[in-house]
Amino acid sequence: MTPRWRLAGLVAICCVLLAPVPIRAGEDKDFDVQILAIRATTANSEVSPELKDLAEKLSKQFKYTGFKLEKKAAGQAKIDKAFEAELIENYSAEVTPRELKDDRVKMNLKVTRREDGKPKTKLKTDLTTERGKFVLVGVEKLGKDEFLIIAAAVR
Amino acid sequence: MTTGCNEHRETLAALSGGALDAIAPRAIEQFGRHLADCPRCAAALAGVRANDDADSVISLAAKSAPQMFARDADRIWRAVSTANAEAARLRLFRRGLRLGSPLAAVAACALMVTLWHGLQPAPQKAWGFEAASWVEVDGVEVFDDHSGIFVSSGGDDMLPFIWVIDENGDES
Repeated sequence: MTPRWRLAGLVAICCVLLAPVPIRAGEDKDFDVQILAIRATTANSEVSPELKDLAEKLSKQFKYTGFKLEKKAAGQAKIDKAFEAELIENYSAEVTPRELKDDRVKMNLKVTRREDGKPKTKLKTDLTTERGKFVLVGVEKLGKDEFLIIAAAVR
Repeated sequence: MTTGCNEHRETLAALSGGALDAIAPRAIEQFGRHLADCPRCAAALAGVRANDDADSVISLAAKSAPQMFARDADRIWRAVSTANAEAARLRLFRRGLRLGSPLAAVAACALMVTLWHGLQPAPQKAWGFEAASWVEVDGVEVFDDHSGIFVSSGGDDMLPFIWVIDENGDES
């Protein structure tokens, strides 16, 4: 057995023994995060099935009539650690859980768009809301008749 | 056999019996000189040599030396055989190790990958969409030409939201 193979075997065995440790260590501190990218429009009345109830309410509050779910990103994040998701048209969002207590969740939401290769922050907000329920943030016009709405939730 | 032969009878007997320790070096020397003049003694000694199938007196000496017991020979042979068998087993083990190590390394890597994936938290299923009925906004920052926001905390069948508006007051 050459020293190279001996070393490779040793490294592999060490990896096997150590690999699960960091996963187990933080397992109970992860929280589920979900971010949605919704394209609202005045050009049509098409509504994604998941957004039917939302559309009914939002159409009363805004001029938009169509709501299309463009992207759904789900992941996990620890307290004060961001979960980041790439959305549509170079937009991305970061959700950072700050505090979870009973049915309330405090979080930070940051929306960024990559323009000319550089990320530009569009919005940052700290808010508290219901755990597992989505907060709606109207970010920016996507075109003449379209608007980007981001919905974020932590549980 | 002459009178001189009688003087060397004990020496000849000792040589015939292999009892070399009983013969003084001086007696052997004298017997050697006697043999040159005495064909009978020479013939008698030759008889001893023929019977022993030996070439010289040295062979008699060798024959009289302590011999190895059969059980000692067996013990030594068994030890040699055992050592050979152990060495063979060791050689086989080393060969197996040499051939098996790369396979073991590959297997360990495969096990590592399997464990890694197996222990990863299962991807969380996205849960159904339900808008929050209330929101408390602790702070909002907007950038670029977006000059303001419109915030509704909800209530009265109104959804809470944060809505960025542009400098013209339009919805961004």
